Amino acid sequence: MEVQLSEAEKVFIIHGAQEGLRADGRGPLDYRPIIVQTGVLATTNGSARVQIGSTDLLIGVKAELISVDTAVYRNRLNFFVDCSANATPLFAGRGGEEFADELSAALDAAYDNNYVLPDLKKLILSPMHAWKLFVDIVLLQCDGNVIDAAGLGVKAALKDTEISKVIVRPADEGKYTIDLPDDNTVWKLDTSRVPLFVSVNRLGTAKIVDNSLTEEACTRTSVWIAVAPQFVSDINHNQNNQCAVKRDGSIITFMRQCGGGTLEIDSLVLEEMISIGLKAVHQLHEALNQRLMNENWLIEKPLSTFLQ
Amino acid sequence: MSIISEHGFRQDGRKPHQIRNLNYKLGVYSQADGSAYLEQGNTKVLCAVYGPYEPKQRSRLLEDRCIINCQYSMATFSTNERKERPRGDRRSLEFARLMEKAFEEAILTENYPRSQIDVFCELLQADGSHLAACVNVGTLALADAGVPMRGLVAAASCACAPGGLACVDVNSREEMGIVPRLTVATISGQDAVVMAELQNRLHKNHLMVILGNARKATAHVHSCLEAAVLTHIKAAIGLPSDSDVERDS
Repeated sequence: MEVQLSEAEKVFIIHGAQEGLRADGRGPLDYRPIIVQTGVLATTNGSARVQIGSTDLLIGVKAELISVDTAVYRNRLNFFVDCSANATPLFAGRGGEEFADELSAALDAAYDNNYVLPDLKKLILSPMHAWKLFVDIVLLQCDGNVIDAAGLGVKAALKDTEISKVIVRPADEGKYTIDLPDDNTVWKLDTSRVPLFVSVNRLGTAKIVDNSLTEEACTRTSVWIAVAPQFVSDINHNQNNQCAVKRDGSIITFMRQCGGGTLEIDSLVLEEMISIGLKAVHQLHEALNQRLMNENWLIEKPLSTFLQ
Repeated sequence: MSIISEHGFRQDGRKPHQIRNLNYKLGVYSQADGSAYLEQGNTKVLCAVYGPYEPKQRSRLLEDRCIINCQYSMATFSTNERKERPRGDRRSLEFARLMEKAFEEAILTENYPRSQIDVFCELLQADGSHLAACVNVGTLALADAGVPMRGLVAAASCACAPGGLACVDVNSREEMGIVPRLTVATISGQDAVVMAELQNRLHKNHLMVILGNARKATAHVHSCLEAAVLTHIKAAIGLPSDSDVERDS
């Protein structure tokens, strides 16, 4: 997570960013090449692998049938982030737990509402039983911008998730039993409203997205934004209810300042960062939806993703 | 249910002495000094090697040789039932120490006094023979990092079927609760055993048979690892591969 830069190197990177040119030749709003693959692991209900430049994440979704003994059950996704020591020796043992907790807290907060996943209601099968979804992220290589990769990977893995249909039968004393049908049918989650993350960073006076590890060392402050898309049907519904129509067509489910530093509230810096983030995440949504749609047409999925 | 059917085959169609398919990729990550990915059947392992570098803890520093630090980590989604923690349990610490002892014997540690070499293994998908797969991917990653070794460390596991018949390279369905399993690692697939780990009880009359078959399996694994390293080196320095040579002649 830490890369040692001298002051002259930092000045070079900051001046380049302020001129609109970065060390690898990108502009301020350009992403590095992003590779998204789904269905990479056979032991999970859904899985995905995401690479942004050299950053590499592996996401697995597991569905467990649990017994609910309390009356109030928190029906949400359960995120766990494991910073593997493959990324850097600093993560050996318990070294990466602070960064992992920060990532999982951001994902928890972004998904902690009823809008992003309408199919969460279908996870409750009976007053006694419910599906519990675990979303586990393994950080294999870290070259900056882990939160964007995590957002992309979680959406791709949820798109790939298959949950078995079960038969709920009432039993004695007000209890229920769960049976599996013979045809082994599965259902998929509706991921059209799942949010994506974008990290907007200030280097000097410049505002950039998708910062690499060297640019993270020069960053003054960062803002993490999670944006869920809003579709035409929702807008029509708003119009019928005489509500104001959102121009952006997006809903911000999470925003947080990370990495220290200061933000001037009275100036236009924060508003500019948010608008840059919204523009970038809109392009991310379009690209990811197109990628996942293309991959759905493939009959056989690549199960040997690391061998390519 | 026995490991071997009445016709002499195992559940996945192998004979008792056959190992599973090995798929590999060297140099997976550019940030690590050496990295490797190995598939042994359906067991998928990823390994990164860092070092030799100066250790941060001075108390562990040795004046005459380097220290080997291994970490074994299972992803929480790697098994059919979800694991709560990827590492830190007794089994992962035990595996890490076993790997450290095996690599300490193979690596020329006297070449790097007051240094440390890190070997980090991440198990992505679990289907039996985890320790053997981690040792194999670790030796590939060390070769990718350019660490001088006496030979490639090849590891294989061997189970004892009822009646004393040896089945090598067990998968997860063959790793049943009471089946004796022996994991053996040798240098260059020869007689120098650098790691031996036995789980469950084994009759002493069967021990030498199991050990001999495990050593033969490590010779098979070593030929695969050696071919992997040679192919990687030939691709790196631009030599034509064996298939090209055969095609020309």
